[in-house]
Amino acid sequence: MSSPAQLRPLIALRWKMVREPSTRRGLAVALFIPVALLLITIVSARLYPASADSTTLLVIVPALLLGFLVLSIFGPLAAGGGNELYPADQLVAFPIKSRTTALAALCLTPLNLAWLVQVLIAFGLMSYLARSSWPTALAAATTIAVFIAGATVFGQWVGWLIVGIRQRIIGRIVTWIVALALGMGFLALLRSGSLTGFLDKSPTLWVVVAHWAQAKAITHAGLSAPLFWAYSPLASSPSRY
Amino acid sequence: MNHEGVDVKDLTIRFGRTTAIDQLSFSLTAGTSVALIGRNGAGKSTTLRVLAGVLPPNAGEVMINGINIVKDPIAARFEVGYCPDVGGLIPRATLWEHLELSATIRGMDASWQERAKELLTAFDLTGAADRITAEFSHGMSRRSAVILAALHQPTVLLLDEPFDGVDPLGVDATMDVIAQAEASGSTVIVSTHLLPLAVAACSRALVLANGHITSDGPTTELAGLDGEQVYRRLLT
Repeated sequence: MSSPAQLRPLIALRWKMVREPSTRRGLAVALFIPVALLLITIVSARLYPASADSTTLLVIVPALLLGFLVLSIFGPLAAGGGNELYPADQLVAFPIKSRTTALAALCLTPLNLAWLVQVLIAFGLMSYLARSSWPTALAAATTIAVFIAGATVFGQWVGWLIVGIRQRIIGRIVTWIVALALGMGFLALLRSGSLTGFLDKSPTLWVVVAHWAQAKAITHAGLSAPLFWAYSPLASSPSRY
Repeated sequence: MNHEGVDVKDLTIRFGRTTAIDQLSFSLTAGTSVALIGRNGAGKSTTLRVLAGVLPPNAGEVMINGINIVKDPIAARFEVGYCPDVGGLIPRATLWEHLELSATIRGMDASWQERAKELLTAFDLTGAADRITAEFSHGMSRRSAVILAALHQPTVLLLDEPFDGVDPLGVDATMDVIAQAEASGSTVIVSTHLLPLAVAACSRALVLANGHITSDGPTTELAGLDGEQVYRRLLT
């Protein structure tokens, strides 16, 4: 049985365990709150009066997205892999694959308030910056959605991978060494005053560049509903934008 | 189904600086029932947790019906029916929902419902099948965990303290489950503190002390008052 096939009865049972019809209705409504918040954020950011110079905001976007990526990795790690649909000790009698557990944690990510707040900030900021037209705003939302989905999946994957590695003594030693090296590297960047330069080389810069390329393409050619893979050729020559 | 039994070689489990299991080795052929007995902290539950695929070993090799538990833990877990010493149930789910989940996850055919009803009747839990397990007494939870472990007629049945707090009728039903599993060629391991029940339920006994096997022989050697004296000497 595949992991998605295992996940279905686990989620179905979780839903069945909400016995009160009124609680079920409340939960069903609550599941739409993040979507509603997202739409409100995108629309209100677009309607917000433009400042004279949005460059200052633009330059922080790559760092913001990098922060999201880093937190997407550390969040699941701090939770011991990810948020669990069921505590592990309740499922010892069932042959649940570790992939199913990871998939369940991924499904629960949107219920994480810290994740949701970051998503709202990212969408709001990009919507504000891509305010020239609705298609541009849509392109910005698509770019950010693809980035957030990718970063969240990647973060969960890395989180569970590290949890798996840490189950062995040698794995624990390796993770401590890597964590120490990363910490030391970060301190060295701070002490040398080159943190800003480092952040300027963030890979998330290409997300912003891709977005901007897409925005221009839409404005000039009237394209719509872009796919993330189509961004790559444009992103490879940022100087054009 | 592949009935090769259980093979444990040099199993070692450490919790920090404490060695719970130290190079434990034993082999159980299919169609045998073994009692794992010993004092608190001897390593009985830890051994069963490893065999159930819940706890990865620090060293050594564990084979369940020829499947290496480290290399393919999920395949090994499909072979096993495990009743843990505590918990193992989802508090907000009903007993029937537990059985339904197990049958679905294990890909059992529709006949699981008949098997489930038989077990519920045997353990006198038919009336409680639609109650959430958080409402169960300790004894009811133990009986439920045994039913859940036995539902899919596993080739390796691991019961950790299945008699703890269970009334005589529940003990009889558990004995029947063990006897049926053994008769059908399954390997059964029962961990318990209750020596008379271990003797009654199993044909072979492994006595554990400080993560080592101190005795391995037929349970008849531990029967009666004389057997209890022998057992006490093995513990000290």
